[in-house]
Amino acid sequence: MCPKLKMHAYQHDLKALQGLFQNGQVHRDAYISPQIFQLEQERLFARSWLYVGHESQIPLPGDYMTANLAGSPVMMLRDTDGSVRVLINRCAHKGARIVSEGSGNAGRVLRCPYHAWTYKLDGELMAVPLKAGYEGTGFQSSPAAAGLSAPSGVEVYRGFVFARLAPGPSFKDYFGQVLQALDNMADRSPLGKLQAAGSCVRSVIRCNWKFYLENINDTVHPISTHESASASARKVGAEFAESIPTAMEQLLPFGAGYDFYAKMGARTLPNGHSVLGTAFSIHTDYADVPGYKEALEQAHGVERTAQILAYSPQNVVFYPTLAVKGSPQILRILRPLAADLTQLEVWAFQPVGAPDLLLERGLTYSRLVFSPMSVVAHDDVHLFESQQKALAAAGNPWVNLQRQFSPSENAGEVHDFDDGNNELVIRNQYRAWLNMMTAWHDETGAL
Amino acid sequence: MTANTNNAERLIDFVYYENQLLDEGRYDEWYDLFDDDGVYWVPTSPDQTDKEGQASIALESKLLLKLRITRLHHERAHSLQPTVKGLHVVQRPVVGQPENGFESVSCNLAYFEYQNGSQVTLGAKVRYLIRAQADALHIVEKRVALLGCDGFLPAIQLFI
Repeated sequence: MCPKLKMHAYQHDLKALQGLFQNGQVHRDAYISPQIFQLEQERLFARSWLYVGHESQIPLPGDYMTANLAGSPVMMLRDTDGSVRVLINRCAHKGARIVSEGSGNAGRVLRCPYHAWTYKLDGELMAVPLKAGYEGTGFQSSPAAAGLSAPSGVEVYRGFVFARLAPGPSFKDYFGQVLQALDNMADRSPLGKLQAAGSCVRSVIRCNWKFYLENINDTVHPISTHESASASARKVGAEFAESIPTAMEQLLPFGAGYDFYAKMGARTLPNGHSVLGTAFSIHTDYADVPGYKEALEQAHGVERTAQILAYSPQNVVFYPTLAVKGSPQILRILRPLAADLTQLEVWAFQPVGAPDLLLERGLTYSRLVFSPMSVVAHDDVHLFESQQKALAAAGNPWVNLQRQFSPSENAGEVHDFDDGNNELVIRNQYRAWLNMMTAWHDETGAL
Repeated sequence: MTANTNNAERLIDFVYYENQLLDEGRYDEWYDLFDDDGVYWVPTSPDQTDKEGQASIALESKLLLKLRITRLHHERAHSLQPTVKGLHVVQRPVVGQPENGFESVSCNLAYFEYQNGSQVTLGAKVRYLIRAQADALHIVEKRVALLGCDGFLPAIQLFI
């Protein structure tokens, strides 16, 4: 028989929420409670800056793409004046979806398929049928007359489009120093511009989003989790020794040991962000691409080019749902759907004006390491899903993140340290999590 | 039988045989069906022709196929425990017009993958480009166009 889990009523219980993260340990309810997930939607995701898409995906007026942001369907579109808009994909009339495709071109006007209400590309209501019937009804002051809703904040940064659904911190305040990782990715183009690949890799994982996110900063798992992939790569690499293609260059480092990560350097930042691999990473030693460095030097100068190419962290986390690799140029976007269900999108980018091999590297990495058929991801996903299932088990209810924990680290959010194996880089995520989950007051002012 | 009919039957039988090898886990024999420049491809869009500029779910040369097969036998391939089983239900293949000097044969496929009480079901159109010689047929490209290739897919652990 299943042990009965005692679920707290977290919504109005500050102490119970604070009890979920203690001394570097996370209580299972943070991962498995549907109630906690609902609170995350309202308190964490809605008030964070979430990645929507890249403006290169909507080059022409009327172009759009859709995404699910914390339970809200949104469309990102290019207005007739060239600006980027993010709107909630919900008709102001009765809530029908305005656009249904994942991407496309809406023309100059958005038109709801249900009752033919039409909107400008900035969301303003243009026309409704039988207009005379609304005269003197109070319609003019209704939310419907205000047109399509928009997120509380929208920001386009170096071509990357973010939105914040509810009021919260400004974009710059929220991300701060971690934005350097997006600067670096854009600066890897001689023109400072990126082009998203024509399509992405998508997968769905039956686990809580935080298991995936933690793992992005977990340097101690590859040597054991991915042993079968790295050992097979070594074996086959020896058989096909005449060529060491991109694939081998990307897979072999998954066999790197604890010592490697102990010197890579890491930095934690406010609001849960982090840079893993401030000194070097498994991506540092990729072979030079002929002609690339020269093109960058012409655009940025010798010194700046050296800085750009030297910055090659393993992963930069834009808390809570985005992870960035500057080399290869890849974004991983988590779309949490439920406490135990998470979607993942992986986009590779071509630095405009650079050799095509750079996009090829990103696409190769996407499928070798992140795709639903990846022999690397298989072992990760298998373990995340096993964690999700086993957490409700009788006995120990805690997930342990105490490696190199020191109570003094509670004093601040910015820490620089050499050892990537220090789980501080994960604990930092939970400090931000707890801050956002508890700094909440409802309309009455009560927590 | 005419020579054309013979050729068509040979290609059709080849497709059934190729799927049989996968279902029976005879991966080394399956590997040998690919020519040295052979590619196994699972694109992310239904009409994708671009292998290099667009993402793929899988795009594997013989080296990567060998790597995948080698891992299937590795004792610490955690995700394969407990055992994963695959089943291919192949609709009668249709021989198409030769492309770039290669024979072309396609089939509709229902693929099932089972592990530990969970089953993944995938529909696909599979197109083979084949280098035909008198004594043997070899795959130059096996393209698996999944019905849900642009959707969010669960882990697919064996070869579709």
